[in-house]
Amino acid sequence: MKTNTLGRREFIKDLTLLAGTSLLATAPWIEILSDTGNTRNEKARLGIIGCGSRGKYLIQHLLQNKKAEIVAICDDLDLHLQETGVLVPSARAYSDYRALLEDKTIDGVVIATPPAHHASMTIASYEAGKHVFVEKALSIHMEEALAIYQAHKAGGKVLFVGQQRFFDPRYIQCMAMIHSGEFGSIQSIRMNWDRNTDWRRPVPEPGLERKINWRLYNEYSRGLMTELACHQLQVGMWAMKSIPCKVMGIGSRLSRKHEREGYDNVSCLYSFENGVKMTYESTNSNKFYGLEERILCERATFEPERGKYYAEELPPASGLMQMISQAENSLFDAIPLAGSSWIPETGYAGQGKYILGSKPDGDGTRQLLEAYVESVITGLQPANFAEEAYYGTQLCLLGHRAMDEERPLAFPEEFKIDYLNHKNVLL
Amino acid sequence: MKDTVITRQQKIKELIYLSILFLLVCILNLISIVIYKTSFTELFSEIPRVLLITGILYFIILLIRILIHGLKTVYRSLFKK
Repeated sequence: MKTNTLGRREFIKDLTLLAGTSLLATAPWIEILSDTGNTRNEKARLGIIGCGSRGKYLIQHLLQNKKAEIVAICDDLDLHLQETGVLVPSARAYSDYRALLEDKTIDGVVIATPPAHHASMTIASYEAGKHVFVEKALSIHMEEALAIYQAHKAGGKVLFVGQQRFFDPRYIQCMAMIHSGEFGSIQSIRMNWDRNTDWRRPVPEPGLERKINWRLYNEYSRGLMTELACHQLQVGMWAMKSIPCKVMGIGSRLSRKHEREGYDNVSCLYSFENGVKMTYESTNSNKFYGLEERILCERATFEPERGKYYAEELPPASGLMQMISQAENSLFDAIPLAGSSWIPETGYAGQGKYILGSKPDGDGTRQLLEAYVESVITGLQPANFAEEAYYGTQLCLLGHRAMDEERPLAFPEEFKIDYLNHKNVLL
Repeated sequence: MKDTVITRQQKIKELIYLSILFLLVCILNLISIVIYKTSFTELFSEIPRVLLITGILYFIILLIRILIHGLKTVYRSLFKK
């Protein structure tokens, strides 16, 4: 408990020190954490719907927050309920989320189920008067994602989505630096998330295959797009302060060792109104490049996932070092036999600089959940958060649709909401 | 092992060597600033590097002097025989 309190204070202190007013302009949603002292003696009573691996991970974070009280848990698998019961023995256990929602003592729910269930559970939670934290993606259908957003706006209850980068100080500071204009305009965005895994979890009995390995089945998930791309596409949109207008993509199944219904490698190209392109690639059969997010500006390249940036033009070495280097080259370098080749143009291998001044830790989940707990207590929705998360889902689903239909797609008018460069003209 | 005595005169001589080397490297720094058109603040900001190069040069010259001294000693002992 004590560690967590200090952690929160440090986070707020970090954010305050990072960029002052420009920070709030970049991430207005963090304001929810600016006055946590007023809610010191209050508690958010939460119900957890979905107690699989992600649900238990969120519970472990919540258990460290003394303002959060987990009063109920729900899962339709007994195995998950038993495992979670060990973590929170005082919580009431339900096998049907509708029964949990009838519990009047619950202020808010945390939904960590497969994305196919998110819409029905979220909307039912709003109807029951609960605040909602729902894991990303919001849904596997664009229509349902819009229905969730509309239910949130209509009811006035809080909507949090499991996009933890929103609350990660390294991302917030990175965006503040990009938006300051100091490093020039964005020229290109390149995202990839590569793994070498079959994504399969052990199944205690064959009948539970689809329920446990839901990521592999179209009935529950859109695979790489809803589980991975959703995070990174939102980062690109956040950096651009704009929503892409078009997407084209190709997806396929290449690996024979990975049985699944969805694609095991995807490649999408999103274009923004100003001509900037954002690429997204993901594969499940080679992890060499892992997770990368590269935002290429005129005067620097940002890699927020590493917490680093690299200046495009490095400051020249001192005169003395240049003289020594020249003397060394003239003494020891081999005589060139041919003209220059492409070798000098291979990528920059320098170390760059840390965005926060030092190596970052954590992934923003702790801060995201702390913000949710604050929001449940105060009833205040953080600015822009629901909209950013909404478009994170819509962009990954649009990319998936473009791959399915094998043609470029413009962002559909019917799914536009009033945010950034979009206006809902159909209402 | 026999005690080694470093006289005052020898100490002054070594300090003069070091000072001359430091001065030479400072001049080299100045010349490089002019040639490569870098900032004159490097006259001060490069002092750690100037000191390092001075030390390296002093060490190299010391090795050469020890070598010469050794050769001279060998030559004298041979000549005496």
